[in-house]
Amino acid sequence: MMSSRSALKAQSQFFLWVLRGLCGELTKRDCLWLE
Amino acid sequence: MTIVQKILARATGRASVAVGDVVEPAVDLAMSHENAALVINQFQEIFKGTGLEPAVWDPSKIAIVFDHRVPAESAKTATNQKNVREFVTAQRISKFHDIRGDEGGICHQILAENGYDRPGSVIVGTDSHTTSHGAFGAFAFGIGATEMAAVWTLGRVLNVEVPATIRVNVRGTLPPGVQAKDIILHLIGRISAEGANYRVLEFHGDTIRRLSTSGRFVLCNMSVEAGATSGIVPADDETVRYLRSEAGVVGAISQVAPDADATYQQVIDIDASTLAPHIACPHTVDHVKTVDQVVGTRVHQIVIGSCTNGRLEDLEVVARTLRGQRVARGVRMLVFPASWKIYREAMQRGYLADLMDAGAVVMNPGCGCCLGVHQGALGDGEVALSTTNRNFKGRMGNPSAEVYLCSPAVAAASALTGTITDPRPMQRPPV
Repeated sequence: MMSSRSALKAQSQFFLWVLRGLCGELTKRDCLWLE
Repeated sequence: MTIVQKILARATGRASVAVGDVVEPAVDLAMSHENAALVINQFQEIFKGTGLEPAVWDPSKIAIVFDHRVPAESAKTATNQKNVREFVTAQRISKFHDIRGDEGGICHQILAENGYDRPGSVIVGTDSHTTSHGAFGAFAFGIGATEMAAVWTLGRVLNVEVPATIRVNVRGTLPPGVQAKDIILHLIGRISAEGANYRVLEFHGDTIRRLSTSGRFVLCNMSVEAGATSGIVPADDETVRYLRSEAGVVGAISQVAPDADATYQQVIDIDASTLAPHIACPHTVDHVKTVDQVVGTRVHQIVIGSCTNGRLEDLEVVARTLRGQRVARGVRMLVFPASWKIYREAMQRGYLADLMDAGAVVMNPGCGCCLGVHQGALGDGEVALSTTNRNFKGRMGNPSAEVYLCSPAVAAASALTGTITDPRPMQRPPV
């Protein structure tokens, strides 16, 4: 059974990995660089 | 270790970290502006399916500042801001700066003047110019909304690769009319917009030690324009002076310096005494020329302000140049102080009166003009000369317009002539 923190970290990493797949890199995403 | 390595070692509870290590540093401050609305969406997604109630890890370590579209320019923005306010209340986020004349302004300036920045800390923000806070000896860098949602959840930044560092030694006395902006434009022109990609620019030298916090802010603010993850200036007596006397910090202030045997990927030397005013020409920040190469270029709009050059000493330089004179006909001069605190101080010192008497329009603090989303858009074919930090095609709202970037001294001198002008012959002593 995963702890709450582990579950949240796994969820966070999942979203970041999805984003990485979409953007091809870990940074420069979410329109950050336009601001 | 370099300063950033030392900061990351502390933030990860390790004795040391090496370049290339992937770490999860604890965050001391997490900042967002209106894009907190996007972070909130991602934050709520993280909790979905876990059975847990969404709760931020530490509401005292999150700062939210409205600055990009203030006051709201559309119903959509107003609704986003409303949703963020509701979230702030529900999560008890204390470092919230709404659209208010007593505590508002541009996020980076707000963090500085409220004493939220501390040397040796890890600061992340959903804004690329979060690098600014390196002026206080912090490791500060921009992250995306999804990364920030993870920070709000866990209190740590995930997947941070320890960056290599470029040491920049700046020595000598800046000539009159040459400012911190010229140092960073010179550096960006020299190494290109990708010259510091994924690395840290660590600034040293007697010129840096003599620079005010405001000047150091300019260097770190625009470090990202060379591709840097962050810029950083070692904290010193000036840092402590600013934090104590201008930001009201009363607690202990630690200072982190690099080890004498720290390893730098590259060392760059700059002789400040030989620098001229520099201009970043359309349409990239690294398209840098010295002012003599573009003198006489007709301008239609002058912009003073932003997180880069909207502080009191910037307004002072401009007011001193314009005092008793008039902005050239056919030129619009817009002034955006970086915060309401600065606005008020500039008003009390008479700078705003000097600017208005000269024909400038003093706007409320905000970012909108800089990125072309709120006030100050350019017409087709028009040219702006601006103290802001980016000049990409369309940056000020019109792809057929051109934006040149410069120091406050160049902008002020040019406002009087209506063309790009060398400020050096026009220097006036402080009153």
